[in-house]
Amino acid sequence: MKDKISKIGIFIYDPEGNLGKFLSVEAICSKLSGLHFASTVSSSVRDEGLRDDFEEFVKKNKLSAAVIAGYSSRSNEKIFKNSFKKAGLNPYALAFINLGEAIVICGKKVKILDRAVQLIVRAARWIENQGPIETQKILLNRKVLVLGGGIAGIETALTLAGGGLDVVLVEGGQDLGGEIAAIEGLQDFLGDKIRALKKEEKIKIISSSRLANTGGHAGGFIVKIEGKDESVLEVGAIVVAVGYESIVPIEELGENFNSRVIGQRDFEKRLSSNDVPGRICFLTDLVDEDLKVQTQALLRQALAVKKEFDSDVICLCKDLKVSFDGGEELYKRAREAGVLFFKYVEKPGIKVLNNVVEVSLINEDYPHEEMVFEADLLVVGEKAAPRKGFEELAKLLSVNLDSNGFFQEDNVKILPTKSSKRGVFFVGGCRLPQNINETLTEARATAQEILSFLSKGEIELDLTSAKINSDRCVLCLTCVRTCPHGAIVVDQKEETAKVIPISCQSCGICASECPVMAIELPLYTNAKVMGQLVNSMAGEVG
Amino acid sequence: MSSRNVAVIGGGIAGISAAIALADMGSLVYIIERDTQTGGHAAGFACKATEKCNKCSACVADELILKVFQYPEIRILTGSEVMSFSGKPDNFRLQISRAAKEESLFEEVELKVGAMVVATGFMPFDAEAKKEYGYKKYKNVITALDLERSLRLTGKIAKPTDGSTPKKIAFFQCVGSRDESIGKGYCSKVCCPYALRLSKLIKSETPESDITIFYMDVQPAGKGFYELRKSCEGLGIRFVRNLPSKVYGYVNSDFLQVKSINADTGEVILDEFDLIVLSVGLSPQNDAKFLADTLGIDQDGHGFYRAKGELLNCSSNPGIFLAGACQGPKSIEESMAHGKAAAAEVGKMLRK
Amino acid sequence: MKGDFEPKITAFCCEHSGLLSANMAVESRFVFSNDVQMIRVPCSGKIEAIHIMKALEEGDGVAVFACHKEACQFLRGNLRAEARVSSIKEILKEIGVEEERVQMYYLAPSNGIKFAQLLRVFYENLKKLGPNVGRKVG
Repeated sequence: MKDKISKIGIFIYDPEGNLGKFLSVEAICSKLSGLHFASTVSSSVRDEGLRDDFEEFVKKNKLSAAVIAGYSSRSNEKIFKNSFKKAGLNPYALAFINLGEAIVICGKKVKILDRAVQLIVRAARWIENQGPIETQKILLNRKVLVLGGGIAGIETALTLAGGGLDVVLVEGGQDLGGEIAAIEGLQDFLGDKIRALKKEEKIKIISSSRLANTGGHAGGFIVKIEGKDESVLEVGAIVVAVGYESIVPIEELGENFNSRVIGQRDFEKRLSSNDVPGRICFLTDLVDEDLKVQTQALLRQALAVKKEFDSDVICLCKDLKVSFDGGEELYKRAREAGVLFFKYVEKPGIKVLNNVVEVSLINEDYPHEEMVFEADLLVVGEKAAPRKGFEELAKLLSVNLDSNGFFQEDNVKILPTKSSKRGVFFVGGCRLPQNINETLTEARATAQEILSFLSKGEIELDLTSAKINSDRCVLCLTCVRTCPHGAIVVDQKEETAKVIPISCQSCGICASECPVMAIELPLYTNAKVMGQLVNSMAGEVG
Repeated sequence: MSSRNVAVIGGGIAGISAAIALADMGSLVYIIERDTQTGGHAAGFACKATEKCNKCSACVADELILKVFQYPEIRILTGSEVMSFSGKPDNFRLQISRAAKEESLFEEVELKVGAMVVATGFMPFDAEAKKEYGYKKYKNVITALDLERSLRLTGKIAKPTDGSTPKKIAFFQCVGSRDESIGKGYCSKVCCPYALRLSKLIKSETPESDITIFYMDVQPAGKGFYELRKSCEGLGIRFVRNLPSKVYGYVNSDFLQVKSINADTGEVILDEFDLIVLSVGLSPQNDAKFLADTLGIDQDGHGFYRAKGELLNCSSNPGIFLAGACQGPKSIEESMAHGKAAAAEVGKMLRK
Repeated sequence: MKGDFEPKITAFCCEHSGLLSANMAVESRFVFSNDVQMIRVPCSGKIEAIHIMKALEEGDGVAVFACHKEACQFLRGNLRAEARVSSIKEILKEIGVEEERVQMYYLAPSNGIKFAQLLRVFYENLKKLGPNVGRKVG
């Protein structure tokens, strides 16, 4: 009983008796005992029963590793892992297999029973030499750097502070508020937010400053802030909320761009100074057809003009993008107030003659006739563009920009504000210009993500991250270049590349790229994978 | 005594996202799920990748369901429904009726929690209510949800009448959305994106199929949507800005005729299709009112749970928070974010 | 004898797509190829050329299941795998082994049916190709 294999136990569970319909569990056990594996079958329905059965099995056979074989449902995995941990055993020495696999991949030559045993034996081989995974306690700095004092940055900062973290908010300009500061209807809302921000003791605001340098990693970034004063801080996470540039699409308007043609933001100023003519034409969707911000601004402004100044208002657009909260209702109210809407396919013709703007378009509903509108002012939808400093900032943070120059989120399957580098997040328009409610939700969600990460102030990390053998490393930097998460750095003193465990997501790309095979992934070592590929395994049947 | 335990009602995308965030913060979380498994509607959606991923986020559900199993702090109570509720924030009592595991009986469970997250999601619009489209009457009129399920389970698109591959397919947008006549004066947000992705998938797999999308306005969603639309047009998918007024067919026959107005001339046109896919919108749950009454939270004019001011996660009852599509139509990504944002609000309250 | 031939397949499955699809296929009991061994990897980018070659030495075909393009959990791991697979195909051509013995497939986590279908097609193709001449004897 002292040889290695006897330490691996095979725990088969079949609560609903599904396995029993296809194969004899007893026959599996007897075959396994022929191979010197301890095995047992549990048919407990309740989680507690399953746990007790397993713990007794582990104790009785003095196991150090186990293969858990069930029929579908991965919902019970945590029960086994917990039991193993509680008993002081290595939870990574557990392998889970689905015996359903034996049922669907058996065939003429291999019987279900043999296949099932084969699966179990292979799983046992997979874990038999799995050493314990070391853990490392890493202290996390409970301070967060928020770049940008627009609504996205403000809301993120407030939520973070509300969750008990310290925040340093760095704004490039003089004032807080960003894009929405210009919108009249949101002044009160923004005012309240800024007051709350200034009142919050946990938030420190540094204006007219920018990020000049970064180092370190998630939980402990070292950042240098430059501006009126210079300072170096340690922060646990960085939130990029630097907004975007809103520009009038001059190139789309050509020579017609003059004082009678203005952008939506300039019109907002005219609205607040009551400088509104009698006939106004709105034109959106010349560019950026996939943004809803233009449409929301259009509806809000058109309604305001109609209600407050009773001007003639005509709106021309490709699509009415009302897929934001209250969008359809806003559209309805605008129509009821007397705002006219026309949709176009071909770009309308624009002429400015004697201070009158003449817009001609083919109405989609009646394409056989051209419609001509005269207006005193043409308000065009604006284009969202990346800011000048994006490239530099992205380089500084070692994160990516997308094809349009905005910040590129990591993966579609996770919260879209996460960057490819752990601890760096993008909120608001610098990733994707969105409507205010969407931005607020995104900001709070991101703050929560950071709270989940930093709140405890420390993290007990299982070191499943890639490991570099410094004796073999020749500093070719292949791994540094190929790591998608910026998790590998050069240790000049030791003359080796080094993995930062907290940033590493254990994908193993570096391990496969390393030309001198100096990198191993502890849970997927080369030996383990190769071991699975060898055909003639000792004791294998079928 | 105040409790840090939290009950999340509904185990869909938003509920799971909220639960994971809360568990990360050290709360014990109960997910009260009516169905036999978690994942909600999204767990039935099909992947819509073609030559590359089209960012439909359907796989998010699959990954989240597995992720939630890894958390010992999250107790998933499937087959459970809220019966009654009492108490104040920090000290709520919830009576749950739960299908017992061994027998086909129900057991009553009482939970004591400090806060609650309502994440009961949505109900797909009942397409039968749009009688003129003949859903359920004509077999080859299906909803987009039917199509999603069949793609997920069988990997192909087939005419329900004979199982053959449809050649001419129509998508009707805004079925149960932006339609005052049936009391749905709101945009469901998700139907344009899913219809475009579904049609792109079908067209990529069967290039000989002829696809028409009847729509009012194309509603964008997220990054790269413009490219998605352009690629649909590039594949030859027809976009017709006109919602059909009626579908003519014969029961038990696969003949379907669509009546719409020609944009050029204003005349009535009749066109035949093999398969009609209704892009159904998102409606509140059928029993949204029961839960609203039980928990003492407000509903808006459309029946979704009303959020307080710009705090989109706070219901009208303190200590009860909203997450996901029960507050209004949301995509998978938005539901994820909304769920996490709800957890942030819960955390703020419990910390005080 | 060709009719009797049962190709042995090694399927490398990325944990974020192929493996989940495989589980779904198993749970839905879509029957797929007869002799297939699934090997889980954290990312298709982790699969080394030597692993694929070793699998070919021991069997008749290798299938790599990765995430769809632009959906790799680790950004570009699937593209690295693709590059690796195509370079292996080049080598195979040179040494006289049919390049069709190594195939790369893209999947989502919920493509159970597709996983089964793809493996079935691969299996049939291998059956047509017959035993792998590069397979180790003995």
